Order: sequence, then structure tokens, then C-alpha cells
Amino acid sequence: MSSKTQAPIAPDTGNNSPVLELIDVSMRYAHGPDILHDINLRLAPGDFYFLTGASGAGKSSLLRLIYLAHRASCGQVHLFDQDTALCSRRDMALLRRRIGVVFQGFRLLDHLSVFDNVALPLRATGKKHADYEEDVIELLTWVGLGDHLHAAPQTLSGGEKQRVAIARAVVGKPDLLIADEPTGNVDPQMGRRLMRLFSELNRLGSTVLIASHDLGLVRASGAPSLHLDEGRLRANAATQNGGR
Amino acid sequence: MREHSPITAPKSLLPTRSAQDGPLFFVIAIIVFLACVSALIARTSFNTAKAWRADLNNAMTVQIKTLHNTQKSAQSAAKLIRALPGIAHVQVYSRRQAKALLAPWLGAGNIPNDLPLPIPITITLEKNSPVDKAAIEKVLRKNHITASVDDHRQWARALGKSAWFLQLFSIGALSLLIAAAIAVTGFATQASLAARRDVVDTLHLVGAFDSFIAAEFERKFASLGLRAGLLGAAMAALVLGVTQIVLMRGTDIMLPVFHLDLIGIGIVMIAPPLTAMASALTARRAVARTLRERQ
Repeated sequence: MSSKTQAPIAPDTGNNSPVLELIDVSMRYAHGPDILHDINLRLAPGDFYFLTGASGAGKSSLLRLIYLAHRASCGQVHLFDQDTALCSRRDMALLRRRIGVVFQGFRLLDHLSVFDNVALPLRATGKKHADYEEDVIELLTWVGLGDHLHAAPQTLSGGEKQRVAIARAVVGKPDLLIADEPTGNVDPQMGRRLMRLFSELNRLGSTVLIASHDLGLVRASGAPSLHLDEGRLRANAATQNGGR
Repeated sequence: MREHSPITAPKSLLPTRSAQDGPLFFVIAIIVFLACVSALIARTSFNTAKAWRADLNNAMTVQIKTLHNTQKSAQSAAKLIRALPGIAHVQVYSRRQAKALLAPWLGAGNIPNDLPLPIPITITLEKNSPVDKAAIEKVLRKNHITASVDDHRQWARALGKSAWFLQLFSIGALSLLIAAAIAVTGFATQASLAARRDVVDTLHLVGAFDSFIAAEFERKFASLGLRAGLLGAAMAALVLGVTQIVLMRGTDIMLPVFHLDLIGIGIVMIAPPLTAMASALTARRAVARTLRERQ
């Protein structure tokens, strides 16, 4: 797909201020070859997309680019109407606060309790303990971890860790929620429950992008998907139906 | 909603202990100990040299060198010297005292009674006395008394140089120790940062400002620096205090007596907060440098 000749995938649904816009973006690690090639992507507020692709297709790299863990080697990355190449470090931090991320490896801090891991994004933004305590407890209770508030992450099962990671990603009610294989370690029932949580957040206005190789889950959700193939983004048929 | 046990926010988002903390604590404590000892030695050497020089500057020694009636000549000389303005005290040594002075070299009782001995006269000057070596030589010469006058200027100069070198050495050692402390803390912070990369990355990705992440490390290293500084300073005070007591009891050790005066106590008191501050600043700089290298 040539970015020069083709309109961005997931075309604007009417809102003129996209949450995310990638224009002719390529990305590589250090001096290696390009992992992503000429990516054009535009997500409007309220969009809900799946990102599919084979292992090694570049799904996690694309997500890293979007949640500002890595810079593009060329092209433009716009987040919330800001060109990230022109942002100061402080502005980048402020952009990251508007993005909730469920990392594939969870990235839970073993020396902190489940409660403190989930509260981390709020604490990092300077919120007071008393202001977020009830919200965090309520969220953890909702994901079925109300009895594990003081537990250390290393004592949890894979599925429980994943729920903690998801709770941490959504606790700040992000404008953009990115999840890398969020249901990979949970049973189908919990998977459906978590998808309902993502849908609920999307209904409340968050734009959601979920990387998954579980095509059954993608089909069952009815949401459109983007497909990465050898670092190039292709729209699946469902994409043409719009973002919601 | 279900009742939950109370939750308290952790003071630090960093692990309370890590493998590097123990060795770093002791290295900083040892450096602070050595720094305090160096500073106190510099201070003591300065004070001692100052006191010795003041004593030497206010004192002169006259040696009566006549072969006959030496004691009588000494008494005459003393009388002449006492008559000069600005003389606080004049002491004439008796022949017995002069013999006692030579005893360590010649042995007690080995000096024959008919052996002429130079008789020393010690002179203590008043503060800002107009009398100098030349004035005393002049008055003795005028009265035909053969004597040599020593105003200890050579000793005072040598002592001043020695004290200056000792101070310079102590200040140099102190500077090197401070530089070593900063380098060690910086190195340890980098190691700590590498060991806690997961914490830094996660905080970074959830939108924490660099200053917030740096403050976490700053607090941790300030606390470590303060505790290590307290231990090092306490050890220095203890060691120097014991040394002071031993020296004041009168041993044969030729060392200046440590006086833990107000400035000395100030040095010991200020070392821990200074160490904490240096550790915190070094940690902050190391974290800021590491974070700048990230996206």
C-alpha cells in the first residue's frame, strides 16, 4: 500500500480533530531495517479498532509508536492534534497521560501492591491518595480483584496480572486506550467481561485500539479491524464500515 | 461495598532495598568518616600551628656564652633586659637547670662542675612589644656581655611552612574525598537506575514528568546519604574524641591534641546534611541525564 497515493486507513468519521494521525510513518529499532513501512492511520474520537496480524508483523511496534515509547524514523505522528516531533518532553508526558496502555508483558512493579500498581498513573500525575483511593478499589473490585488489594503481583496468576494491567490502563479514564493482547491470559468469560469494559470505556468517549491475534474475539466483537502484514497496514473489510 | 483494610500510600515508588544499597551505604559512610577526619585534622593543625607561632613570636632565648662568672653575667643580662619596655617575663636558668637540659644527651652526673655551660635566659614579650632581637643584642653588646640571641624566627618559619603543607594536604585529601563521594554516588545511581529500569520505564510511560521520576531517586539517595553521613560523622567524632582523651592523658605520642571546639563540632554536624544534599543532587543529575537519552 502506498501512502502517497492512498487515503489514511480508518477515514475520519466526521470529527475534524483526530485522536491519532500517522502520516507516512516508518519505524526501525536503532540502525536495523524498517519494521513499519509507510503507515497512514487516522483514529477519530470514539473509534474502536482491533489491530490484527501475524506474530512479528509489527503490531507491538506500531503500538509502541502510538503510546510514545518509540519515535518514528520518518513520517509524522500526531496525537490529540499535536505533532509529537515538535513536542517538548513535558508535553510528551502530558500526551502520555491521555493514553492508557495495557502492555503485553504487563509491566507491573513487583515491589508495589496491586492497589499501588493500579494507582500508579494517578499518583504519577500528582493526585492525592484520598482522591483516588475509592475509585481504585471500585475498579479492582469490578475486575474481580477486590480481595487482592494488598497482594504483590508475583503472587497473582497470569490472568490476575492481566486484569491488574487493564485496571491500571483504564483508571485514568484515558482518551485513547491501547491494549496489546489484553485477553491473552484470561479465560473466555473474563475475556468477554474485559471486552465489555473496553466497550463501556469506548461508549464513554475513549478511542480504543486493541492488538489481538484472537480472530474469534475480533469477529465476535463486531468492531472493525486493521491488519498489519510485514510492517504494512492494510484495512480489513470491516474497516470500511467505520470506526464504531 | 465490601470493607477493605486501610490502604496507605507507599512513601517511595522505588524498591526500599536493592543489592547496591548496602555497599553504597558503607562506602559513603567511610568517605564521610575520612572527610570529617581530614577536615578536623586540617582544623587542628591550623590551630596548633597558630598557637605555636604565637608562642614563638612572643618568646626569645638568650644564651650567655662567657667562660667565667657565667651565672653572674646571666643575672646582669636579665636585669638589663627587664629594664627594656614591653618585657613580660624574664627567667634565668640556674646551672643546675642548664645541666638538666643537657642530661638527655650527656647523662645525669656526667658534667663536671668546672665545665663552663651556656646559661639560657628565656624572655616572654608583651603583646606588640617594641623589643626585638636587635634591641637585646644591642643592650648586651653595650654592656660587654657575650651572648647569642634567638628569636625563633627560623623555627616559626619552618613551623608555618609545615602547617601550611599539612593544611594543603588535608584540604586536597578532603577535595578528593568529596569528588570520590560524588563519583561513587553518581555511579551507584546509574547502577540503581539500570536495576530499576522497569520502574523508570513504567513511570515514564504513564506520563510522569522527568522531575517526578528524578525526585523519587533524589529522595531515596538523600535518605541513604543522610544515614551514611550520620554514621560516618559519628564514627569520626568517636575516633577523634577517644584520641583526644588518650592524648590529654599524656602519652609519649608527638601529636597535636584534637580540640573538638565549636567549629569542629560544626564540621561533624554539617557533614550528614551535606552528604544527603550531595547524594540527592548527584542522583538527580544522573537520573536527568538517563531520562534525556529516552524518547
